[in-house]
Amino acid sequence: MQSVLEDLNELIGISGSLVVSRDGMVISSRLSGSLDQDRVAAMASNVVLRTGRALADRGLGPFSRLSLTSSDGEMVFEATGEAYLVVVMDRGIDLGQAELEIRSTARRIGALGEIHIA
Amino acid sequence: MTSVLEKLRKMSDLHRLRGAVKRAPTPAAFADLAERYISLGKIRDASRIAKRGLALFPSSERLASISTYLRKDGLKGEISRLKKQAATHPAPAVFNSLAHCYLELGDHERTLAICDECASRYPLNEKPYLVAGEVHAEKFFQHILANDGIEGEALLRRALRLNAQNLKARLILAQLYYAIGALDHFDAELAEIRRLSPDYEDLMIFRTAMEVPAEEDPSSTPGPSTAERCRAAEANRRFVHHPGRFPLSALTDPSSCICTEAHIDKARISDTVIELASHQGITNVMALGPDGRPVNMAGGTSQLSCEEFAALAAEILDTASDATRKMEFGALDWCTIEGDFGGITVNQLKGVALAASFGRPLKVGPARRLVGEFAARSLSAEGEG
Repeated sequence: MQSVLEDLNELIGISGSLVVSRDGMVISSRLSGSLDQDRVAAMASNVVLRTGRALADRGLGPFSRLSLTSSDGEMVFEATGEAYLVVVMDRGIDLGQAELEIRSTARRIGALGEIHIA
Repeated sequence: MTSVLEKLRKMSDLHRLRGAVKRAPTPAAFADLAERYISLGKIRDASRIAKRGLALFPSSERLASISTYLRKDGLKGEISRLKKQAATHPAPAVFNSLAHCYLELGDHERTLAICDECASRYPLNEKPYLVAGEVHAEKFFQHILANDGIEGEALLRRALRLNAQNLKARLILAQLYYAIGALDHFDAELAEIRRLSPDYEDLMIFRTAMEVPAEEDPSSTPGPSTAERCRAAEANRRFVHHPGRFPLSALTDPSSCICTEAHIDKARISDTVIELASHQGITNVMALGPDGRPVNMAGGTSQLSCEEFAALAAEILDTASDATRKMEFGALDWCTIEGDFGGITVNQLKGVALAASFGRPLKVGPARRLVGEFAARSLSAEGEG
């Protein structure tokens, strides 16, 4: 899985990616030096858990994709089946190309089969 | 041949845009002309036009962003010159100018690295502590993370121990104390500022005019420490007093305060919510004010009632804002969620959020465009052309 994330991180503007289970556990991560591993992992778990719970409380199913855009960066959470691929990006990245890569990476991770928590 | 034709086309366009500025000087006309100059590489002309436009329309965000872009472009050359100078003739002033350039570019990491280097070379110079303190204060106002407030205060105090007459340090501290409601410390800084310079009478008038609730009255029992106040701001995700309201901010970029408040026209927002909810594919709409409370809501389907959607949108906004703040990604602009249930998108502008749920036939791209247009329309700045 690490090599799949490394391939994705090759894309210009992507500063890191990780895989988080639906119950908020970090399964794998590849982040650039500028990102604090613990902070990103905590943020990603928090978003997955809180959003999943907020939707479930209202009888809505799990989300398949979530994107956050702010003045200095973007984050995308893409469902991979049992988990979510989380991608941290610079603001202003060519989203068209990045979206294709993110979806294809999520499929590759999903195809890896059962996810083992590291 | 193509490039000659292209150049001719741009020149004729330039002529047309110049005429437009003369005939009807609107923010859009100035911005179009400045952008055309940029595309032609005429940076000095672009700066001149942007400056003229801003003098006439100071609230134009488009002109302000062009002006910022031009200033940042100029800073890159200055940085390269200062780096060479720091290598050949290092001096506190050179490091401080370099740190300031990075600060103006909004590069906090590099600014702090330069401050560290300067402080280790010249430990008795107050400037690196002042600039690093300013960075932390600016970050605190942007992301409301307690550690930045605490660190900012410590660094600014250290700068003042080295030079008690540094007015800038005292002004930033005063803004920080004002924001967290530490009015006893705020008053102490104001007294020092008044003692050091008679030029800050506006600040004294502001303090006199401030409405202070009894529980904040500094003359009553001692309140929490500044660290506790910073932590309370982080927990509540808001300041006691809006730092953007502090007059005479000494920050390099006063607009960096997260809470640049929008003038909220409730009637206009209500119209927007109702109009957006009537659009095909939009199922629920709600607007949330800067205090997180609903301004208006409309819609309601078999899937979610108006109230259920309001509660869900508030939770989503809270989670998303928390994530971008903790990642130090600045203020949240958009959060969009998709699933088998359809989609939910939230657009936040100047602290006011417009949230909508959508389903067939509306897809995510058009839904976002629609919500973005409505949000911009209901919150657009006065006088924007």
